[in-house]
Amino acid sequence: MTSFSYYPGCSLHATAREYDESIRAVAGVLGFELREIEDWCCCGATPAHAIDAESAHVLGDWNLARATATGAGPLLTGCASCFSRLRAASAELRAHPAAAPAAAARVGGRIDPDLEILHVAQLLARSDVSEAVAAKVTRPLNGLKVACYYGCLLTRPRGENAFDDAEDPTLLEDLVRLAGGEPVAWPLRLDCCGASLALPEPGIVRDLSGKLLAMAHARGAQAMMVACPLCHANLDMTQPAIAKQMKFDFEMPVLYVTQVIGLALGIEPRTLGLHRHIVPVRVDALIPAREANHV
Amino acid sequence: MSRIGVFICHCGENIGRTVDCARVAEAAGALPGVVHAVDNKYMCSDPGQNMVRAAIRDLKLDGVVVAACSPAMHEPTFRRATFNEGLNPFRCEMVNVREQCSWVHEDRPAATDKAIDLVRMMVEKVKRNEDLFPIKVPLTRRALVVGGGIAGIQAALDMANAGIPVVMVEKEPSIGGHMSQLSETFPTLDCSQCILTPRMVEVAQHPLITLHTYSEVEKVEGYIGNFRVTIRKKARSVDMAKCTGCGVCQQKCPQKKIPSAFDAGLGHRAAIYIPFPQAVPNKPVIDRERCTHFKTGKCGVCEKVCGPGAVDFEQQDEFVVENVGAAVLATGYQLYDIGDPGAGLRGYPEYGGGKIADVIDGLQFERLASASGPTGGEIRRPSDGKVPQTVVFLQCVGSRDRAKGIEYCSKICCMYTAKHALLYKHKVHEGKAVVFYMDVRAPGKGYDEFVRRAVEQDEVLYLRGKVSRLYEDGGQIVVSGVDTLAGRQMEIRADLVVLATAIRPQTGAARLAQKFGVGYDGHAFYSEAHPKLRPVESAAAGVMLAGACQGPKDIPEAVAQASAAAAKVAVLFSRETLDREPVVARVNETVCAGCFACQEVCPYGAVELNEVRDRQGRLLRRTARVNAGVCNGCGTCVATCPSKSLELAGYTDEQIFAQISALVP
Repeated sequence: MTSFSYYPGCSLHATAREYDESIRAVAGVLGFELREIEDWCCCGATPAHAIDAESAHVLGDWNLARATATGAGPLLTGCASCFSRLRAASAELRAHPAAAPAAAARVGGRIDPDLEILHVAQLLARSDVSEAVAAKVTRPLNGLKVACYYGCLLTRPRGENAFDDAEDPTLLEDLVRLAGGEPVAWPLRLDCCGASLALPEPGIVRDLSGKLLAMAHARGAQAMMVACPLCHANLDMTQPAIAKQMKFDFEMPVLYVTQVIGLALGIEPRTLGLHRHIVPVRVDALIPAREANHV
Repeated sequence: MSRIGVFICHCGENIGRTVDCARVAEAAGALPGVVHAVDNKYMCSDPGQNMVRAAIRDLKLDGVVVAACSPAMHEPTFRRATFNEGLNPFRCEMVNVREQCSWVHEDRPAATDKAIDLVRMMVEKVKRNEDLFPIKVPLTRRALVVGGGIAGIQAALDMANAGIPVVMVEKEPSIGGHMSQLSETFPTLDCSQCILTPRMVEVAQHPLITLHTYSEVEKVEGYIGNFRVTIRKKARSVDMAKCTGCGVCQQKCPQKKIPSAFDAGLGHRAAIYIPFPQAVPNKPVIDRERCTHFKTGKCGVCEKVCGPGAVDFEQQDEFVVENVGAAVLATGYQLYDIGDPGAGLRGYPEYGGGKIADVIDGLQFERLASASGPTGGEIRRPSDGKVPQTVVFLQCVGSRDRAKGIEYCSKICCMYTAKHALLYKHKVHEGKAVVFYMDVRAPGKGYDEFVRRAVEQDEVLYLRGKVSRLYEDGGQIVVSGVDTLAGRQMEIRADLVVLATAIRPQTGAARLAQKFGVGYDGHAFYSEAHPKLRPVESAAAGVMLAGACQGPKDIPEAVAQASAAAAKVAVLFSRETLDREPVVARVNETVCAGCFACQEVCPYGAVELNEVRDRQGRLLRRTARVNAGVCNGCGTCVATCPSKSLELAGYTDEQIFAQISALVP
């Protein structure tokens, strides 16, 4: 059995429980063992590195040391921010190998500088995993029109730490196709959702996320797919308020990448946590059962 | 016994500060074979040179050693002085005690010792120097011009008007280049075609210009003064002698929906076509890849309707050999393509990657603004033919963007963008023109005034900032960018977006440079021999550069460089024969085994086959022989020769070993 260190981060134990559930469910079907790292701490997200680079690296190093200790394969995470921070800490260690022993001593554990850090979507898009998924698809999405939304931190900062090309990523679209859906061409997939301004400036989030939802709808999307718990919170949890403000006559279900793949793999919607969303995900309406039964 | 004079220069303070020149002179004077050794503040000055001449004359010197700066600087000076006093100039040598000694050392005694060592080595070499004589090379007074754009045209006309026969090669069916596509030219707004087409006709009618259009340089052999150039004349499928240029064929051709390269893809042409009405020559060519006859064997309408019977489907590529003494490369530029920019570069998927119809480049805008263009000079957008009410111009698309692979400034875009915005405002008075720029660079006569005119008189809105994204929405293009001066994000809904895309060398520029032995930079812009003092010559002797092939340039600059290149060719051709440095390899034919390893390594193709025959003319054996006119004296063959039958004049093994022995006794 292929095993991975797993770093859920704060959201996946709280507001994004369904993301955690769907990651574990998909991993189960694919036969991957996820070993959640012991005693993990906050990744630092935006505040740490915005205030003090040192603190940001210490937080990353702490988690990298705990991940190294699991002795499992690559470190897997589902959150765009965790992904970005862990990769930044790892890159810092590789860039300054002389400082590595001090960093390890500070967090009380050895850090493997070559520990691979993967976002869940990257793992799914890896050719061997994609093939395994393709072989296990039992409920293809039957051409469901999905707007893939990357947001900011998955592809940026650009360079070797990035998830995919910063200007023209295709990774999420490839996964939608893998699940039997049809990715929608829409122009705002790399724009900002408002991120953590949801708390101090909710109006900005409503404007920015509202623009995204309206555009995805205008381009024919029946659902949106995300790979970040904060994007999900802004697009799903805030959607009723946005809909009221912008007078939407539609609802836009927002699914995590593992929920989309999980549905295609035939996993029960409840197991994938789809019932936890604010905007209801009516699976039978989105993927008509008639066609699904033919598979 | 030799009679050598040694002259040590202080170079003001440059050498004298670190090297005790008087002590060097003293030490040199004690060397065997040295009859005279002095130091002087400025050897290169007139009095300094006269010291050398007087010593040669009075002391009957047979060798001169000048310890001073780099020979690249003053070797010609002292060799001339030596020659003028009747001594063979190759008996004079320089020792570089400036760049290779005083400038790089601080310890005065050590530097002085080193200078003495260097002088001692050179004295030993000069003892073994022999008289060498410049190699006289015959000269073909005829020039090649590659490229028939404005730079090539200017160079060709200047040379032809100076009495130099010119062969012009143009790869397109017509000469004229990009300038023929332009609407009006900055900063005076004169009509591009009106000033260009008479010059095109002049080229065609000039008795001294031979024009090969739809042709490319296939092979280049030879060297300065004597190039042998093979030209591929691509099959036009039209007999140029019979064709009258009536144009009936292109009217009757059923294939009419082929994007016209002349109209930058905005207009259409037939499969048999004359690129534009003022084309020179004004005769059609068949695009074989799109012609129904060539694809399926059917059709043949053009052949039927051609009165003079000029259409020739059987025509083959022809090869013509032209002998010339010099060449001017004027291959021009192409625009960076945001969708498919080519190897090593990144495109702009964020600007739609070339898939949004109403996002066009500068040349396309030129065609829209041109009276001869697909819209007759009305600004109408490609998607639906509507007159755009808001046009956004983006500068620096590709240029000055390392993330896209192009770090340089394309130089002409600030000016043509100002011109585009101004032309648009002149044609659509109520329209809104917005320019996103990084910096406005308008250094040129009347240039900044022109940009100010666009801003002040024509009310073009200039916003300093980059655009992050372009996308279609509701029949418009959303331009999402930032105004860095106001510090705010901008979102403008435009009807048309014009990108000032980067200037790049033509496709195949590197391949052509290799044929001529011309250097080029990482982008394949051709390298000049010296960035300040030899800006129009390439490092390949006899090959000059003109226009945008050497770097982004506007019309006046391209024309100026072309005229300068023509003048350089005229200077070269003003001589009866060419003198070449006699520092060339020579073969000792009595010991050469004829293995021709030298021929394989020679980068210049200078090694020839020599047949040694007896008196009855019977072949005894074959040996290598070096063509002194082609040899560049690099010495690769000397190092390669297994039987040591090759030596380099002026750098023989004997001379070099003598130098080494002088250093390591």
